[in-house]
Amino acid sequence: MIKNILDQQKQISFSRIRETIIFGLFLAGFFVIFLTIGLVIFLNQAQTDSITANLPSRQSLKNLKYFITFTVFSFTLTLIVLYKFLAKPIMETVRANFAERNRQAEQNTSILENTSDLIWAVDINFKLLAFNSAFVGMMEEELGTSPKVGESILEKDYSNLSFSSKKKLYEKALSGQSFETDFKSSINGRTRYFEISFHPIYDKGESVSGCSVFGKNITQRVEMFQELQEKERYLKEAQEIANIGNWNWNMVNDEIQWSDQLYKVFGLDHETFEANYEGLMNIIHPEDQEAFGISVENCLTNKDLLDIVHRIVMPDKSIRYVHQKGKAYLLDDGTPARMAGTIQDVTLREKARQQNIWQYNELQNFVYIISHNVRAPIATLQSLVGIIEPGNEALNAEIIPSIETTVETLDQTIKDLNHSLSLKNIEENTFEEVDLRKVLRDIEHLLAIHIDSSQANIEYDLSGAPKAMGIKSYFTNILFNLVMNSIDYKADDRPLHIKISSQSILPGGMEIIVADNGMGMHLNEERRKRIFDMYGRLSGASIGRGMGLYLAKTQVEVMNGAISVESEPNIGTTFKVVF
Amino acid sequence: MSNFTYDTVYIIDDNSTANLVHQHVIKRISITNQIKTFTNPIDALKDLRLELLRDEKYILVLLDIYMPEMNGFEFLKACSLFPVNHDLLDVIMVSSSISESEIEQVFDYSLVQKFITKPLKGTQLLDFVKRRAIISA
Repeated sequence: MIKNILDQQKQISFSRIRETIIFGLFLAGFFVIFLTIGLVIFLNQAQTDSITANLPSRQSLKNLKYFITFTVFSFTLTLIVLYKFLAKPIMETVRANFAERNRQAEQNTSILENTSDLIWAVDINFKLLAFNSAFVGMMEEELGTSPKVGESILEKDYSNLSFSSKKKLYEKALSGQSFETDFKSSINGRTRYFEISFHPIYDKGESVSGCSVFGKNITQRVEMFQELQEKERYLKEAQEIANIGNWNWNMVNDEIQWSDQLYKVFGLDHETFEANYEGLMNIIHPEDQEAFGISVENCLTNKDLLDIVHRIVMPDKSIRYVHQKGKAYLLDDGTPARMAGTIQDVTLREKARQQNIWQYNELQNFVYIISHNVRAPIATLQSLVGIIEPGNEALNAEIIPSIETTVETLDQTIKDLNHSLSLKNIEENTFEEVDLRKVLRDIEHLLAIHIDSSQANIEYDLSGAPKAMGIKSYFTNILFNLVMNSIDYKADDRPLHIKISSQSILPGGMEIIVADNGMGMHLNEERRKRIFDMYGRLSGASIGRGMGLYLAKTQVEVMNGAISVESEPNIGTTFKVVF
Repeated sequence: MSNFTYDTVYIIDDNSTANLVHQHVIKRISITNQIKTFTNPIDALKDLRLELLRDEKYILVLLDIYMPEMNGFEFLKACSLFPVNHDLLDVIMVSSSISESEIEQVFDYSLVQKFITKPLKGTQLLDFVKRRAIISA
């Protein structure tokens, strides 16, 4: 804007000056012609006068005098008119131009001064042409002396740059290139960062006469950036240590950001996985997806905190537990704009919690057994002792065998307890591949007498899954107890038929089924559970102690399996073991 | 000695030794003329039902809780369905259990008058019968 006005005024003044000069020349020519004509007339008259009077005529001199007077008068008048109408406006314009130029120079100086950025210019010999006071301040601070116009910039040691690399930068600008570069200055133990831009100065648009340099102090920006990077590093370290990842879901543009650690928690990487809600849902265990969806919904509608432990399926199909916490951030009108949260891998904690629950149940079971099966024979012994009558031989003879059997029962109970507890201390790494056909051959030997006496017909079909991972003696005991159970509860009116089969089931599991056509039983939820309890007998029809199925269940569970039962009275019973 | 006597006392426990002992205890305190012992509660239930339906008799049942075929609670449920005068029937739970929650649980059944932790003592039974006599008098 300022430049435009200046240009306009410049154009005006130049055209006026040109016009004035042409007009002045024209006037001077006119004056010369006029004077020549006057002189010619004078010489003619003088000649005439000399012819007639032989002496310079007084009349011609008089005419010359009038003529000169008139000429001088008209010339002066012309000059006055010229000055008034042409020269004066021109002079005023020129003066205004000077004033404007000064004003603009001051404005420009003010603009250059009104910044903490360093501005300077050098000529082709690297000598300082101009600079602002910020540049002066910097130089004084760094070098202790003020720069002077005409000094070589290359000799000023204001940066970590060497003489030659500084020279290269200026030479590049002086060759006509505009460019930017960063440099670091550490003088007096203080580090500062500058972003400097070089720009060549063209002499009337033809050759480069120097270059201007603009230096911006970006120390604060760089330090903030470094601080931010440091904080990010701390956050990353903390996330790594705690195995917590965090996420940010911008609902307005549906963008999800995951921290690096979150990818690690999920066993994924940035390249192959795109973080979005659907992707997250696919990671969540199918059985937990609904609960997670409800939690997110509650978080968005009721402003509840998202707080849920759920399972995830890792790329290698293993299952892990994560604890998600999150919060919704709402707009003024209450619509959710954003959700943020953390996800922590709590697999170990969750496994420990489940272990705790299992152990608590075991303890409850143990307390129950102590309370009933250990205490019962002791109470019986107390009663028996209480009814002994000295001298009453008939009564005492009746009591003593009872004391013997009761003591045996007590002893057996304590042995059973000890046995069942020892079964539970098994490490998974002791598992081996067990050939079920061999196991069943062993059982046939062990149960030979029972099988014969009950005339049981045992059918095998192990082709579906002939082998299983676990402990051989446990498989032997489990199948022994299941077969023994079938023999103990066979139907009286038909020959016993037992079918033992195994097959593989998805994903990667297997099941063993022992089915019989025995007397069967009526099952409800309570009885279904009690059948596997220690001493949890459902029938007094056999001489069993109620330990067989309990031990089988314990051994199945120790090998990470599950046992279940189905039965119909007078049709038969089926036990299913799943690993 | 109490004047009050039961017509029949049922002893129901899957442990035959316990039944034997309880039989002796009851004989000594002379609260009944007839004692019936059962190791299978289902058999006991059948017998009890017939006896109650046949005649108006005062009957005491000593009942264990944990038995294979039918537990004490199932037995009580079945008894409460009998179409008889339940005032004639007293039930004392006799169990080795010392768990308070189990003891509380038995009193959910209105037929149960008392809970005795094994070993059963004659004096405990006698106290109960004396109090019962005052109520029925």
